[in-house]
Amino acid sequence: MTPSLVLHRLKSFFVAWDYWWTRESYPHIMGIIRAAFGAWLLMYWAIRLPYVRILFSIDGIVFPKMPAYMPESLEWLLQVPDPRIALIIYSIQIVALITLTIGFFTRSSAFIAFCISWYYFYLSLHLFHTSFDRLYIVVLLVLSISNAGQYLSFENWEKYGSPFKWEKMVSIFPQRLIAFQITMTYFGVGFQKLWLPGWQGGEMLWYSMMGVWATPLAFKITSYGWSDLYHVAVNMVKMLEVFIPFSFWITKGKVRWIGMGSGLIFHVFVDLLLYIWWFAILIPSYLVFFSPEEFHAWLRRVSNNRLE
Amino acid sequence: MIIRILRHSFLIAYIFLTFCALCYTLGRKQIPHVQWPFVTHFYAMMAPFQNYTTTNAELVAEGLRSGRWERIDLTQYLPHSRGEIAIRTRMSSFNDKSPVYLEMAKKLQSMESANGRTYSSVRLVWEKWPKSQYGFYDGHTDTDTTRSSVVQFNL
Repeated sequence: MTPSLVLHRLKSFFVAWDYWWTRESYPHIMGIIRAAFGAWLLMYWAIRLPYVRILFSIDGIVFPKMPAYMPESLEWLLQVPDPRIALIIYSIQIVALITLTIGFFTRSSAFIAFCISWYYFYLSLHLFHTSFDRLYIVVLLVLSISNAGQYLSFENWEKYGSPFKWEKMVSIFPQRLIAFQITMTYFGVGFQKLWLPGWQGGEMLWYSMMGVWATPLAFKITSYGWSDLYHVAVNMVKMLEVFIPFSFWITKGKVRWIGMGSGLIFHVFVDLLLYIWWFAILIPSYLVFFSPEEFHAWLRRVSNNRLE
Repeated sequence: MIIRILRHSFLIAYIFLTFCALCYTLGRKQIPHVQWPFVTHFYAMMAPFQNYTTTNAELVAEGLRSGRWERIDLTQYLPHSRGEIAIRTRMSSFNDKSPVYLEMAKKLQSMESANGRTYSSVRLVWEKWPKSQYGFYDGHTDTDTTRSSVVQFNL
């Protein structure tokens, strides 16, 4: 292989890499993702409204944690506030999520919601240290650098008279980042189960269905007693979770649809048997695995060219 | 051009940190010279629900009044689901949990006092009992439940 050939191949790779990650394309998918995530996060935060005082102020049991990367001079940011300040911060969060959902000052709204979510994470949510809170924060950061307000937004309604009208192609970068993160989440979660000691038998499911997360339906099922079917179920979960992250990217045949269907079934079962509902937002987020071009073509087809 | 460079730098950093997190998730190997606090966030996004226990556990708060220990209803101060309370009360974000638990007991004492229940002492205890297939508290019997003291705050 000559140096010029190596150089040529490298160049081709970088062109393809750049095109895949950052090309300009239709804004529909990110517009829908923004509205869906915004509405989900709005619900997630709004249900805390009656408890703001005891959750996030000196009136409650609140133990902030300073992140290791935070300079000492900024530690005052994470001092537990008094109830009035806590209510103001919370109100800003809710307003930012409303404007994000409807697509009004979209980027600024996402950035404000990102900053306040980060603040809440270290103020209180760190004690719950969940994957979904971190995923939500990442998605808000990605939305704040996206042009997700270019479709299905108040901004478009103001500009063009309809939220469904649009003009500007947008970078695919935010969509790819979300898709990458979802893939890696399923990938890590699935593959570690292949060797984690706890996941080598049905006992994992059996005991989880009697634990702190268990729903009444889970207890109803465990009340029938142990069965080897728990081994089968755990192995099925492992197979599904290993299959899902790859399937999302395989456009041949029906593989992608089977993967998404598997994801749907998996999350529905998790929600029915365990009070772990926060990952359900991943289901509509599977939209990021479709290319903006194919989604746009599909939209035109189903709307008989009424929607561009 | 600057935006392009920034975008790709961000992307490469993101992929690198995800790779570091994946190495830890799959092989429990930390990449040398990479600060763990930067990787934690990425690791935590791919590592839920790793293990199980055969027992259920709950942090119990009790206040001493007229020589008797009374149970304090924690749900009025921790308005979360049972699972979230269980995880939060482990205080696992803190390396040294003792001062945090002591602060919690102090806080409970003052909040209960504000609600008209004055206790001379407040103590926190972990209760642990075998899981039952019939319900969360079905295995919570006097004989099967073990109690371990966490902290006690005396006024």
